[in-house]
Amino acid sequence: MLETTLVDRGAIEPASKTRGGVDVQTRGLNKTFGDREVIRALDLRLNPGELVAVVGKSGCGKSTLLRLISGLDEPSAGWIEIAGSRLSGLNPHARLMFQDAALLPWRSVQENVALAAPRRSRRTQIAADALEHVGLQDRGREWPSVLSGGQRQRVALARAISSNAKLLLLDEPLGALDALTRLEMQSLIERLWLERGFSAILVTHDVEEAVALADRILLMASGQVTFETTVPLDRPRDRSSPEFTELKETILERILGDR
Amino acid sequence: MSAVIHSRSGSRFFREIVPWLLPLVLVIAWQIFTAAGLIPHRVLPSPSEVLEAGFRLTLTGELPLHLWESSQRALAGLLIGGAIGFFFGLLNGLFGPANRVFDSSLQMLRNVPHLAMIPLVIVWFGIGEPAKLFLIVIGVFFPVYVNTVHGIRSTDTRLVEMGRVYGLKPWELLWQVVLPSALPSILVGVRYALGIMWLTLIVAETIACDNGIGYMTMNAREFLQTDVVLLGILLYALLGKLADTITRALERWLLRWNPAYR
Repeated sequence: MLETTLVDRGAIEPASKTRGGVDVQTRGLNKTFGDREVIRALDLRLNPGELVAVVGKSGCGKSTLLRLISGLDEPSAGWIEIAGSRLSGLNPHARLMFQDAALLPWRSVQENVALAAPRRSRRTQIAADALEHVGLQDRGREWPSVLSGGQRQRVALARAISSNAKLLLLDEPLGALDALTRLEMQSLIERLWLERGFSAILVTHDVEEAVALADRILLMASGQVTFETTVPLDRPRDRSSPEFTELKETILERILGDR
Repeated sequence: MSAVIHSRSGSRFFREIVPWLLPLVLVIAWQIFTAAGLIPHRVLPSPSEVLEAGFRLTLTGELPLHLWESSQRALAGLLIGGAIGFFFGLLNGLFGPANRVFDSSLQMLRNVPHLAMIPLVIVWFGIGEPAKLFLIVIGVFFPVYVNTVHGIRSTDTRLVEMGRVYGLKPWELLWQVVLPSALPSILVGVRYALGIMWLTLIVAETIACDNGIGYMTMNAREFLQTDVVLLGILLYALLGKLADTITRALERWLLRWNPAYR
């Protein structure tokens, strides 16, 4: 079903040759800080083009997991495979998005987006296209400091897609936004994901967000996956449907039940 | 730079004019008091006399010569000292091992007032040009060094990580992320260095010199030309203000992305 969507949108999508996602696997992944084990013997698999949400209480190791997959931190034991090959150093396919947009304040919005575009490409054009995708085409010349929090996250998204990322690592990207902006951003992320077909891991506190966006939800507690479920709902998802609510309740209960 | 708490008020014209009011009032008061004979001429000649001295020395070509010598000296010292300070700041800010090797020694030297080195400097270099340059270089070095290290150290690690994730090479990280982020702090260092630069110049030129504004004033003192002495002092004030204005303009332009400098 996803395939047909991609083909349909192919006409308006010039960067189609670079679309798609990579698969990610972790094998016996371990990360310790001092004598604290943050990730413990973690085996997980992310299929190409899949959107997996990771939920859990704070301090359960979700953010550390993303840092390991992005290659910013090295695992203490075990390894990560990206598209079949073992990761060493920075992950070339991964783009990380934090709670704050991490834009360079001394570069204009458009320059920030262009920064991520591949070398020897028409960077300005790519950046302008990416900004249009997130609905900020006429803010390109402005400084990031004049944008609102939601707009800044849009720019960060534009930056991620302009680099043709095959794996998007989202570390509570919407955590600091107000409820309305968050809803808007969620549908933007879903739209971009459907268009581009990248793989994505979404770390979030918000169970509703996880159920609304993810193909699969992992629940993490003290460095391990304690519960896993696929989300068998059709997109776009109706947040008021009984199935949606039921799934949300189940996951919430699991989180609160975990000690 | 706008004040942090008070919002801007008044028209642009008003804001531009206000800082000049106090100096203007002082000069007028000075003129009135001296013209009325309330202050003896020997102690304080009137502003018009100082101005006249300025004209006279400009016509003889003496003033432009001294001004040129002093500015050249100040600028050369600033450039050399600033460049060395920036270099060490960059080195020690970026590389931990370098910092461990150099920083504690530099901090120790920093606490020696550089003007206390004058006797030693005279022994080393005599009273020629290198002595003065050396003093300015040392004086300017430290504020630039300290603020460069601080600026680089306080770069947001988030931004550096973002740059790394997006595949920036080390020199790109330096140019696009670290240096712009350190720039506000570096410019504070430069402004501070400018103050020290003038201070050192004055002292160096009054001690041993045969040109420059400092020499001009010391020479005038011997002949009790109080008007020329005052002219020298006023010139230092104006030059200092000019240098500060230029750096501020530079700040406003380089840091225009930062709402605090708009």
